[in-house]
Amino acid sequence: MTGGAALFWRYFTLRHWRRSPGSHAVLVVLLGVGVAAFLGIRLANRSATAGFEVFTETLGAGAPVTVESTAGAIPVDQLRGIRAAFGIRSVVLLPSVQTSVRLGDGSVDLVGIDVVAVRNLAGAAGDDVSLVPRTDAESAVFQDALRGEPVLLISPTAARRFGLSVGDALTLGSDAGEFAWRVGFVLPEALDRGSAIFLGDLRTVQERTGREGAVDRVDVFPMPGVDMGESVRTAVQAVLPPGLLLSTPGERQSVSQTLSAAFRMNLSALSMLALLVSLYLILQSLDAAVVRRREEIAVLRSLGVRAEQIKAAWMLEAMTLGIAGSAAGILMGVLLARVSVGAVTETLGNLYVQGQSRGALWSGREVLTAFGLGVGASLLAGWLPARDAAMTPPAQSLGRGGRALPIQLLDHPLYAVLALGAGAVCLRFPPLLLAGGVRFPLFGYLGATAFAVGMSILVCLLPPWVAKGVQNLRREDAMLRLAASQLRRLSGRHKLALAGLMIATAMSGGISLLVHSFRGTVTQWLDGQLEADLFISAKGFQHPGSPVRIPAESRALLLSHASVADAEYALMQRIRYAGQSAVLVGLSARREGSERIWLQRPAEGLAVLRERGDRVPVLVSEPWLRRFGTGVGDVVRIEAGGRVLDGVIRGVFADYANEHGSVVADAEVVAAFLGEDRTATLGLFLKNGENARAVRDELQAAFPALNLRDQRALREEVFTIFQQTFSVTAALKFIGVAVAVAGLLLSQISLFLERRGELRVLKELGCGRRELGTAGAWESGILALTGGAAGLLTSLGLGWILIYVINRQAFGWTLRYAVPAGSFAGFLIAIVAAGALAGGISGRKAASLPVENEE
Amino acid sequence: MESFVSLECVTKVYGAREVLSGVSLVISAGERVALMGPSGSGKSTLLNCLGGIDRFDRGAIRIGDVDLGSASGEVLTRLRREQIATVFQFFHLLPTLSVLENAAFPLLLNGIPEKEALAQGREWMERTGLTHRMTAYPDQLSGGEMQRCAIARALAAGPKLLLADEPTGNLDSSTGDRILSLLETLTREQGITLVMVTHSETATRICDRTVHMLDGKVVEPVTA
Repeated sequence: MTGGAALFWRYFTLRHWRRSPGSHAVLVVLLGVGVAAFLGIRLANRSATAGFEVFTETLGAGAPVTVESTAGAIPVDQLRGIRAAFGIRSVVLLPSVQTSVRLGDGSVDLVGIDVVAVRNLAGAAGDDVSLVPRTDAESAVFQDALRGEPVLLISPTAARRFGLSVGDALTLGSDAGEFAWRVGFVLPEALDRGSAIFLGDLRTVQERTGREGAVDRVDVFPMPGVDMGESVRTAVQAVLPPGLLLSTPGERQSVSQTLSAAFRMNLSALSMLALLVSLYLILQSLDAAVVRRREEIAVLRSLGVRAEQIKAAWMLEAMTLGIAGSAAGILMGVLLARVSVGAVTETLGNLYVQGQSRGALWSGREVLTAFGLGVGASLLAGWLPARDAAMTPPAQSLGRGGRALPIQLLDHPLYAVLALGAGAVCLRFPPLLLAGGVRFPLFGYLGATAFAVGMSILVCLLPPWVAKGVQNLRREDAMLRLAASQLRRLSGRHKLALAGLMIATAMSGGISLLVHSFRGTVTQWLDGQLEADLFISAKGFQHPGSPVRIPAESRALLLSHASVADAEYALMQRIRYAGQSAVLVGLSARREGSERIWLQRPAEGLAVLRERGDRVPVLVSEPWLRRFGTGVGDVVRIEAGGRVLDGVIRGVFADYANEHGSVVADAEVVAAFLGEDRTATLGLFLKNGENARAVRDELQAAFPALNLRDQRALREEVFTIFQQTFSVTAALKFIGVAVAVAGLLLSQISLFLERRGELRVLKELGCGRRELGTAGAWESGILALTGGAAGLLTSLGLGWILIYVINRQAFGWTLRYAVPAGSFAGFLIAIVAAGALAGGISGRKAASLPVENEE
Repeated sequence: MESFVSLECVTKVYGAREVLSGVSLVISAGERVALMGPSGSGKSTLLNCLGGIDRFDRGAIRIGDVDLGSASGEVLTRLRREQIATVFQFFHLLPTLSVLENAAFPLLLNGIPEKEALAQGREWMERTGLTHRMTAYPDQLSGGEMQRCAIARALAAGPKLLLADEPTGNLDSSTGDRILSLLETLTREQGITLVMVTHSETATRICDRTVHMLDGKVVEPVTA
């Protein structure tokens, strides 16, 4: 800090903060809220995603390479081929299987590992491998496991969560039945990753979960001196059986994050909204401070302070505010992350992959980013008032007080035309393709921003007309006449407040429109999906990657129930296609969903799946179409476990279950391809007259390992997830508008301060608090009406961009455009009421300004 | 006597109105001049132009060897820091600074270390009779005290020209008299040139001559 800047900071910035600590604290908190919303969401996202990695990476810690199947499990008989590919004496293979099992009323993750392989690892990788037994007690447990005893190693988190200790007995339930286990060892705290993990011997776990003959992954540990570099991995990949994929921990982490990247990226983009409105508020507040301190600035100028020094002093003040607000925001953000991590984890779990959150993670990088953004936003917001302060002409300011804030951008409709044109051009660009196939609609966001900016310039032309219209309704109202006269020639401050309110309303309205459209579309889609009376899945099943399934025997028993008339079921498997994650679905569709949303409907409808020929007829979802660029008539080749499924696309349907893309074939074809017939979901159609709830209760009692829900319960569950997913956006929406209205209040206060001379005259003419409050309410109310109505109109365009450009580019979903008219009307009334209230308060406040300040 | 301030046909226009119409005036170094005239006659505008905080449209103003018309903003700023000081009718003290800090602030601006600046500020407190109010803030002062503080601030940096814009206009007559005496004493002691805008005939008694203005023009002889 230079001497001059330090002098101004000590003598002015700090002194002003000390003189009015309350208002400055509010400003710090408001910036803090913006930073906190950004950081909290980022940290919660990070923790939630990291939770998914913990479970699998705990096992393979130290393994430089892992072999997985591109679809489904790896048949045990392929282990020999894997070993041969690496060289028999070069590596130790650690095969494992992982599945969800029931413990009490809930489900936990059970992992089976090859105990013999673990014992061999000491020679290969030494202490780098987490699970190599290090103590006698641990070795004894491994010995017991080798003898086929049902002993478990559990993580410290599992011990704490379920109150287990060494020697305790417990019962774990699976598709294969209920089995007794014993806790043999609790892993050291150093190995705990915050997940409840239960480890058993591979063979025992396979037998007790119905997973004989299959493993989910094989971790590969090289013997000392054996190279596992990229060239070796490439050579090995070439000779591995088809359908097997080599990956490094870094690649797996990337895939895991890619799964939900679009969701998280959009959430981050929305969290920027909170930061943007904070920026706007800081701008308004600093601008108000410039107006209040205009005399001080003029005196400083008359004392010989240079304009650049004035500007630097104000920028320093903005930076101080940014530092204080960001620091407060970081504290609040960490707290927010702790609160919201559960919700985000649950949402991601429902939508993408299952995981366990382990509390908010502290990330220096995220904190620094949030801090930098907070300070940067504050400096950006401070620039305009600082420029205004530096331009303060001392002579006029000392003589007459105020001066209107000039904002050239808002004065020229030509800029609006340019912004709208630039926005239109942006919308024609495709999304950015990021690592892992993530598509980020950068140009969509830029187009939306340009559109909003263009409209915010145009809206500044409206107030004189609106004021004239309102005045015509009450021609005898003197205070309305006064307010209208102020709006006839809008000051820069009026325009800034109006533009800010309009943008905030447009963004909030746009998000509302998107959510409303999404909800309407999903409702229609669900009508097509939820035609059955009862819906069944295995307990613990949440998404295509969940390991639990309905066994074929259970399915057969359910289908043979006397009350069941018909059934549809689906097999689901997460697959790797063209290097990206996707979903393979086997559908036993016998009915044509009347409400199914087709983009390209095959003439035969779903019956096309039952056709047999050289190539398997398949349907793909809209996200598949957009991600992989393959449509009707194109060929799809999926490989797994040495088997190949060659399909030809016959139709494209809308699917809102995932944005990674689904390829659908007949259930029998998929069962043969995957080598298993376990069902992910099952829909039962009951005979006429059957009571769905009674049948559900009866079947639930008979099949405790399954989740049975009737149509209504499932629909409620889906919408609960929906609400949860969009709860953050709803909060951001209201933060945006609340801050914009606060900006209007600040702006109105500044305007009154600028008009101190005029206020004196009004007071001398007999205007009191009531009259000035009324004038303020009219002025601010008309601005709010103009900004709110224009904002909602703009939101129709923003909503269109969100639905047809951004949403389609990021998720590949087509939504039906629907305007929430009722919500918009309520929104407008609330904005006008809040604006009038803000103006009324500022008018009454202005009426009580001391007389000596009015010169 | 050597001329220190000279104005030659200075004209200033606001919109369509000429507020200064060809004003010419020469003021010697150390001279005290009163500017009188009805409201709107252009006195304050002339003072602002002399202080370099307002620009004029035609003519020339020289202060010492500086031509204000061609001087850059940087030069004008330096001039205000080092050679010109102003006392206002409404005092315009810096509200966040104490009385002592207000007086010392111009010295700090000139890069004088804080300790020394405050020491010099204290001397000015003594000269202006404000020693007992040094730690008070402007909103705790009476009108007379505020104007004495403003005078201390104006003179602390050792200006050669003091511009006073109705310095007693906001004070009662006895306080105004004391302020005028203080101004006379201090400007005489320091050899400072004073240009004072006033409506008060009694205020002119501390000046060497009075210049009358009407409708933007000087209507009295320009020499003593």
